Amino acid sequence: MYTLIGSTLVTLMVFLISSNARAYTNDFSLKAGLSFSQSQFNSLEDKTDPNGEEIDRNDTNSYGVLTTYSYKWTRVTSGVESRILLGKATDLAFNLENQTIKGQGSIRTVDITPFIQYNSKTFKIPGKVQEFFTGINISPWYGYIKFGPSWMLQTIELDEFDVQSKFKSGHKLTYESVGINLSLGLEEDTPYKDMHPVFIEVSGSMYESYKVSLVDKSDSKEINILGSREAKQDIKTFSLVVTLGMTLF
Amino acid sequence: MSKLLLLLFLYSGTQLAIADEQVAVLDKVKSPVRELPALPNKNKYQRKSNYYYTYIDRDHTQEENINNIAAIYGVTWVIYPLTQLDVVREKGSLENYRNNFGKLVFDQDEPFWNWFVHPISGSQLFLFYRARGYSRSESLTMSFISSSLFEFTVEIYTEPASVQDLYQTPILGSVLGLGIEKLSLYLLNTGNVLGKLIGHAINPSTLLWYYEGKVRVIPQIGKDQAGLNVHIDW
Repeated sequence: MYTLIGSTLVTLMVFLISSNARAYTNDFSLKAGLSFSQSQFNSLEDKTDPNGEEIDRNDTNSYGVLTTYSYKWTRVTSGVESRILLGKATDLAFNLENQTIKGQGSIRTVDITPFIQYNSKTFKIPGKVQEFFTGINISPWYGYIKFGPSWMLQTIELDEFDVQSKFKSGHKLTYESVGINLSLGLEEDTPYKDMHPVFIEVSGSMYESYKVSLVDKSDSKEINILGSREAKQDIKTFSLVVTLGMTLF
Repeated sequence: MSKLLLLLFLYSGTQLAIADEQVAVLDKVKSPVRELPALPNKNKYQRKSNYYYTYIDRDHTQEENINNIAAIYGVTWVIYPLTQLDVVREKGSLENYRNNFGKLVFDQDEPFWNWFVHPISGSQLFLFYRARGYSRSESLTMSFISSSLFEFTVEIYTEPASVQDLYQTPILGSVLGLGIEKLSLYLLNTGNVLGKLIGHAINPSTLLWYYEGKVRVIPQIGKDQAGLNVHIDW
């Protein structure tokens, strides 16, 4: 996974310094795609086990969707994007009111990221690569880099857990975090957006929690927040997301 | 040169002789031609439909934009208390309205609400604006304005405006709306009663008076001329 991302980044760096943009400009667009994410969570309290050895926790894999609504000028695009990711985690440990909750369960993340994007000049796919994909019309492409602040809500629902009190199976923990997002991608450079240009991008995000809430979800119609408190740095998240999508309109 | 022409002549003559023999053999073995039954006249059996359903994008005046937003805004003030009667009774108050005014939070709602109910509302908003002749991008923008007005000035009677709802209602709503638009047009134009029923059910705007894409197509056939009379109401 990381080797693939590394190669993609190097390829993008090369393409970012090549020629001639001609895609649709000065227009809004709505994009959507499917995402695969690999996340690492770190709690300040659970970096080491009682013996003082560093705990090597498993990454959490999540799948979901990305939507982007943006306005594109010639070389700059600006807009807002959001990812909804669903994942299963087997090795979680969280701090809640001075007690550590350990267990396994599901994680839902929703993030909102306003961004600014810089588009490279257009480059064409080398003839030999085109020949390899016989029958598929490969348009010119451009590379892009985008970044922006990001806000994220992580909802953690534990199926099996180990805790002394308060936390029940009908409860969920929600962490609100803030961080930054940096993405590198490739997008088809079509003259009209109605040609539904395709894109692929790799995003890296880092977050730090600032608020945690314990929520009783036993009545789905009326969510009851049992308690909230500041959770500065309770949980740190690093996510790598690969998205494949297209412009809808 | 003349030798070459002679050789060519002889060769072609041989070829012709062989071809004649082959035709004679084929004539013997081939089965007699049978007349196929006539195909039914497809036009005779086609479903008749008085209207063709589509979307016709057009420019709007500022006054039309304001009127459309105002109409939806008025509807939200009626629909919200009717659909959330218990919540409005229990949590709604003018004091809450004042406290929640200008507040923006991440809501803790379950996925059913955030990823199902809100996008469905958003899709119907999108389809309303599409029915009024807005392009897809314009419909999304108008949906965003309408849902923001609802979040910041209506729903705050019971709860603060939510970041997820502000984004997901118009955006996921438009993605869903695009799918519903395509499916409903397909169903409505089948001419099939069940298709029309489902088409109108998933896209109710096509049934209402403000829908501008209902096109009446009347064939005009005269002496030495034929054409279509296209009638659009708005």
